Amino acid sequence: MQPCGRLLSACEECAEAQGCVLKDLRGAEGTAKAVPLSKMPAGSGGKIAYVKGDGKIIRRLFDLGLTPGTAVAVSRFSPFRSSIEIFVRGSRLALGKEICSGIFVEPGSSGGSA
Amino acid sequence: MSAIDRLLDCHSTGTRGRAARKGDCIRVALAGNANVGKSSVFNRLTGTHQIIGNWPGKTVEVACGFAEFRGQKLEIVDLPGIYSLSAFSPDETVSRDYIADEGPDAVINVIDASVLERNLYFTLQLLEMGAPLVVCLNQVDFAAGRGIRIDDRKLEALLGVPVVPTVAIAGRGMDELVERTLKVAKEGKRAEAALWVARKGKRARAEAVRFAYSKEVESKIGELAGLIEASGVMPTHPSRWIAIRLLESDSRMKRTVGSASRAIVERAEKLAEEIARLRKIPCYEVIALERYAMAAGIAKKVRTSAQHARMASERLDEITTHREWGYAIAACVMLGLLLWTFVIGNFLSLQLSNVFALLSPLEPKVAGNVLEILWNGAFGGLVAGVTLVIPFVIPFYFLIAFLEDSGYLTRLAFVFDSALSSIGLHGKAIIPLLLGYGCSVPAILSCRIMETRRERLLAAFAITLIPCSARTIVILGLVAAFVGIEWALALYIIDLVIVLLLGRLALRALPGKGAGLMMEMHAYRMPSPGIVAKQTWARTKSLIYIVFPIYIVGSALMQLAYAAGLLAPVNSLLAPITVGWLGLPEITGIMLVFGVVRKELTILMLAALVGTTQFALVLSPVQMMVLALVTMLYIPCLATISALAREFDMRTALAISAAEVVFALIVGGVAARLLPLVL
Repeated sequence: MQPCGRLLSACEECAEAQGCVLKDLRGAEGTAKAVPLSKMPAGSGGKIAYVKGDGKIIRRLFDLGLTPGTAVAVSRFSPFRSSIEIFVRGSRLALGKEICSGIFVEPGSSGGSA
Repeated sequence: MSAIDRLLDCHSTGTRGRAARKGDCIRVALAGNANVGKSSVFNRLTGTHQIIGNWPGKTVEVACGFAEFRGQKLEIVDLPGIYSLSAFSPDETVSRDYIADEGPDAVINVIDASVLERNLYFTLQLLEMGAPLVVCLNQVDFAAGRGIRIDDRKLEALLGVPVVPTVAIAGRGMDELVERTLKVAKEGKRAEAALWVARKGKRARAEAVRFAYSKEVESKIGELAGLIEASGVMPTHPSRWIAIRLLESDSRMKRTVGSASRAIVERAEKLAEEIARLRKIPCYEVIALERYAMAAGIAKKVRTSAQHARMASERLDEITTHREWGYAIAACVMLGLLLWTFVIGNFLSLQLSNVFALLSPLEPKVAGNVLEILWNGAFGGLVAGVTLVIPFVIPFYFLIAFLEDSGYLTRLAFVFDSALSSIGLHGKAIIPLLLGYGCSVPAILSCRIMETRRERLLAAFAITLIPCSARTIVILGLVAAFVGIEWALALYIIDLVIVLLLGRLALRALPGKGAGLMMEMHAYRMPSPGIVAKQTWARTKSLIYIVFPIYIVGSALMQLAYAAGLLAPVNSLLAPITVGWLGLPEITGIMLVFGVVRKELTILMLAALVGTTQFALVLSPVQMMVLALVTMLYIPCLATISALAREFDMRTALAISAAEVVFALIVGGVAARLLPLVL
């Protein structure tokens, strides 16, 4: 279950936009222990729970294979931590910090099996 | 047929009108993700018979080449890297439009054997589109080195299209690739010819669906496809594909279909909303998710991974992106690049100038016969172009292309991402900015790799402030030669600070959000000489068609205007600024005016006007520093202004120029007052 990835100020707005039931969304966000990728330590990994942010960027992230349920691992941070190198679907991507702060991951054992 | 005709032919605007096309030249498109070795395949297939041209109406460059295989002529187009038909950048749009609208006889989808899932995602999109497909499974050797083996027979059986394993860089598998491509193209042509006769406007049913989405998505696709079929919109494409694109809310598809039938688009929006409600994420996410699940499913069936020893490239990678070492190595690489430009470039440039000087005097001539002045100006312009391009720009760009193809530039982009994000850019902008140290014009053109217009503009603005090789000559000729090499280096550092400061100011003036860094970091590999040479040429050639003409005509006219006395009032007019504010001799007014044509013309003019290259006789060290600073910053040269106008618009180009004149005068004036304290 993934909360919506729209750029809206409140869940109510989102619920209205999508016409979905509010408590479903709240429930999902409440139960998930997801943390943004930008807050994960280097070397850790997990599964993508949901992705938030600008619609166009979300679309690109999905096209690059960062779909919910995908295993990811944080390889390293760039100096001054402005971007993060991750391992996903057998290849490595460098993503800006802001983008990563919208990618929520359920921390788990390994990430990104080849 | 001339090369240009063939290039145009290659870009013919026929919309899937295969029957109407003349001759039996088979048109093949190479498509696939970035860095999968597409260009290697292209070079292997076409050898030297290739032309790089601009896409009509677009600024993206597309390479087109020709090959002959057993008497069959082939026309091959190397499309820019693309990850998805939902194009994200101008490059990707060109690739998508070509495949969708130009109807090539065959599409070779080059995929990287070691990154199968992401590559297959695009393959699946091509299959949905009904493209006449051949899959080129490339870099199988590299994948094997990483312990990855792909069962290509099985992949072929699963995808239902030919799959050819290749190592393009070594030429392995190329014959089979061409053979099977020809077969696909010919079968496609035959099938189409038969259809043409049979259908009379009736659409061919898409073949049985090999890869299905979930039941709820499929039912919507089915409904929409039925509507599309009944309406007869876009009869040349599979209705199922149109339906999927509409559900993915592809704005371009919506426009195309919407112009014929508004109702279908409205229905598609409704159905997409239903899916979104059901699955609680937007419909395009549902489709992407399911398509990736298919790609992952296929990959899992055909791939076996084994434990493998860490490759040298992986160790190299660790060092080059290390927190401290990464910077140290980056600094060494940049310093190496600059030293190359300084030392070797300067030496070669001198030798070349000497050779040219044997033919005709190089010193700007501003008195005498009109024709002589014109000739002297034009010749000087040409020599300036040649002595900058050959010794400075080409070797510099060659090294950059080498680093780029090896994969190092993506690491450099990663290391410098934070610095660049402070001026509203991201790591990828390191490539255009580096190119700027060679020449601003190709650097500005290469800003096309940035995703948004705003980012392209911010990067281009920063480039105009970076000392190109012409400005390097001024810095070398004045400051390094007469003040000291450390002061020349100081100028470069001051310039970097200025780029950062003005970049931040520009960011204020252009509010908005950038996309942020999204870049695939492919593994290190040995660069291929062919690709490095091609990339170098692709960047250098804009110097020939933009910079050279402006240099030649501009220099000739400027010298003539001067000789005719038209520029005589300039020195006294500018005196309040040059003498009063900057503390420079009066003759620098005219020098700076000439410098607008070519930056290095400032010191050439100085030498011509004072009759010596011993500038220490006419300028004090402080004056040299001020003059070098102002020359570095005061206005982009004419060629750069024209490049800015091409890529953006005239207003933007003029606004940048005006802002930089004002800024350079402020900096110059301040320097003229502060430098005497330390120099």
